[in-house]
Amino acid sequence: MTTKTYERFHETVHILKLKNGMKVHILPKEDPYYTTYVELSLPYGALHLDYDVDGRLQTSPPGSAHFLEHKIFAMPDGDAFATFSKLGVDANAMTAYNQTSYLFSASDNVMEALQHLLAMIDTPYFTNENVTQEKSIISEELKMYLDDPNVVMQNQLMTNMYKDHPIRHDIGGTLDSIEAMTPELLASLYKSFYQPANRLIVIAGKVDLKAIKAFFKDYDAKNPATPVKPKPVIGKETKRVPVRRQTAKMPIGIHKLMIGIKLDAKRRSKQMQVRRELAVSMVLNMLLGPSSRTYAYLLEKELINQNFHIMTTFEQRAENIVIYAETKQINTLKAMLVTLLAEQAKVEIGKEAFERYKKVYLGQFIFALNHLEAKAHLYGKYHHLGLSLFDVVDMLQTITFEDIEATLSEFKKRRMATLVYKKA
Amino acid sequence: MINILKHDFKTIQLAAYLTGRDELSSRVYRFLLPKLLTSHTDHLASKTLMSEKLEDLYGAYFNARVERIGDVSVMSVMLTVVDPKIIEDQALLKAAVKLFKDALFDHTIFKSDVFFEEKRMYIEQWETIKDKKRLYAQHRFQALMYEKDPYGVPLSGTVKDIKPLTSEDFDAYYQKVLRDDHLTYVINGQLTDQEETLIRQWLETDRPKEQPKPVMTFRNARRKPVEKIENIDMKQAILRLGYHFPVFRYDEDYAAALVLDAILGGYPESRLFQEIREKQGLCYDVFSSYEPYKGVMIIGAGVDAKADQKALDAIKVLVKTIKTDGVKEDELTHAKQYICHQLKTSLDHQSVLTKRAFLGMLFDDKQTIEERLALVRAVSKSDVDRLLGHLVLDTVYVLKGGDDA
Repeated sequence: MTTKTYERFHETVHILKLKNGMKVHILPKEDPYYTTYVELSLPYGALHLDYDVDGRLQTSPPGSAHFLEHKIFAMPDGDAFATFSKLGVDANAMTAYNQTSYLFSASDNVMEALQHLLAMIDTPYFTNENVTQEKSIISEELKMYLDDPNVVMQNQLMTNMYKDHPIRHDIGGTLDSIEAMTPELLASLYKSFYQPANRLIVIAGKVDLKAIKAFFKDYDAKNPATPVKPKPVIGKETKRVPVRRQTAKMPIGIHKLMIGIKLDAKRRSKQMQVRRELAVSMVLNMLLGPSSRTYAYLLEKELINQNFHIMTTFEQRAENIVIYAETKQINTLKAMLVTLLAEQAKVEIGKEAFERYKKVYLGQFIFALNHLEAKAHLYGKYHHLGLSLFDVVDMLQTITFEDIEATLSEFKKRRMATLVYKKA
Repeated sequence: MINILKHDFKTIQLAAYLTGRDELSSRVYRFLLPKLLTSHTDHLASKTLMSEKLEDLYGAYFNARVERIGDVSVMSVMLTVVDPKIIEDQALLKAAVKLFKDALFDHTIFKSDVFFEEKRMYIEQWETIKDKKRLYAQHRFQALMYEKDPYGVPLSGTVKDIKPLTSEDFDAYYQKVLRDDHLTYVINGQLTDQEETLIRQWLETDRPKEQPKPVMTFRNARRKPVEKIENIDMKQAILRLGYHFPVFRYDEDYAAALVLDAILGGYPESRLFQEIREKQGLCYDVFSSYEPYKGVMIIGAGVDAKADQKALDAIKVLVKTIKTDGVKEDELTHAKQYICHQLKTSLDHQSVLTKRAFLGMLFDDKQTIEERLALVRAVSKSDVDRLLGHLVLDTVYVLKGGDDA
């Protein structure tokens, strides 16, 4: 076991690397503390539809990782969720674009719950009956999202912006695509992506280090490495935006606007990539955040309301910005935002705001450390990117105003897509 | 009144709770006032200046809201700021306390442009409520379930209430609040003795107002349940079943009511989750929710638009069965374990501790977490079975899409 200490944040990380390739990172919290939070994550997500195993290209339908995440809870002796509940712990799971996570929080029975978590992951149980049943459940989940106009809009915008990239598809897939799920497909995906070498376990909060170490020593001896090495395949995506403008009438209360900007998703070093993500997020806050001149102007002119959001996505070969607004003056707002982003951004950002935002991001990092779930999740996310969460703060300090200005060169009109939902 | 909690967190929370008797005529004022208080002050005379100030304080942020506890209206303003000791900025705590105090007291008048902006956004929120199907269903269900009861009127007031109001009306209401409301402070963070002394000095108050004590009541159950189906353009059907369940927060049966809620639909081992979702595959989300300040139990689900009646029947049969047969010993044991975990893990959440400290002062409740855990552990099968007899179906509401929409 190796140990790293981050004095400034009063944080310590103990790292276990098992012979079978599984990694266990432990972030203890001193007494008095009651909760232990465990997150097992795999670098397999909604974007990994095509992958290569031993030189053979495999494909799977949209929504596969999410469907598999649901079905991992099925065990021969019943629902694994119920067993977690019987132990008095809270369990959950989630699928993102690039990873799947299984998690629980416990105040008692931690080791029993950990054992159950691994038993669940190690016991795939896919039958015709339980796969058919899950299609009903997931179709209701998808319909729930389809009743949210913002989700519908987001999905449509991604379809308009990307020609081939799997980000075109919703994480959960579609009502049609989930019909293609079979026990055989799930078993094949499981075999490729759920092997021990792909797993990272982050344990945060109240921990018994000795017991955890003994547990994983025993687990390692009983679960040798599996030789499968899948390689996700994501094809090259054009820089062009296939559908630059779309307008539709919808049964909604106020017009809605989404502007997407397709960024240049070229290969960069891990450090450069994280710096870039921070710089893009910072420049957007400086341009359109609550203290910006533009935001004040848009409010004053009644062009936006409180539902004005900016989201960024940085995935393999797909990086983008999405701006969402509700407005009663759709054409004016659209023209103003496109012009601002494409032509006037440079004059709108200043060094004073840049220095303030550096403080904001440091604060946000500390806010995240205050919440066990957020801390463990971010730790896992950055680990899969090949970085330590605690090093990200240092990278923040290295960002310069010139880095911020450089990101603006990607805000080009030809890389923008606008989607308008007009009130019917 | 100031309550200082010294817990080991990386942020400091400064919270103020303003309490007064709930009145329908003041709902819209009390909904918007916390937003106005935190949007600008005399010294930070615009939203932009306020945002810059918060950014300068390392991204400190306000939470401002109103809620109803029994017949008491609680407006809260909370500022969360990073612990100055972590970032070695010695001026931060004083600056944060000043901003927090200014948000509460530094308002000679509210700026009319800021007020009209809040008013416009309030109206636009109502104009888009149907876009948020679950929120809309909840709003419609509440209007039906709490018909002729104050809970039936939105806590935010209505568009009709806000339309005639001006910033001067809010200036006058603010002065009334300063005069009449009881003010409680809760400060929560890893403070040194010196920091605690300073905060007590900075927040010195001479407001010996009497804390209104909440009264919790609800009408009798309807003789026959009211059922309403509303059709709009959507893919699913959202179901809400309201049960009359007159067990309140400080009743002897409170712990047993929590256990009943967990067994019924509070977690993945619950009857509703296992039967309606896992066995019958009718939905993705299904839950029960016990509301101890209202004395009701709500069951909710999102199902296929064509399966609404099937799901309603299945839920009704499930409740009838559990009422007839009672709960099982093993589900009782697991539910109690689950609730104990929830109680213990809540001790690691700063905002929960801050709110709990306020509620303790509001209800004069000195019960420790150990005592609460003991009460949950002591709940017996007969306690829960007896409470099942109090569950009476009162209101059924369905919001659905399909051919009728």
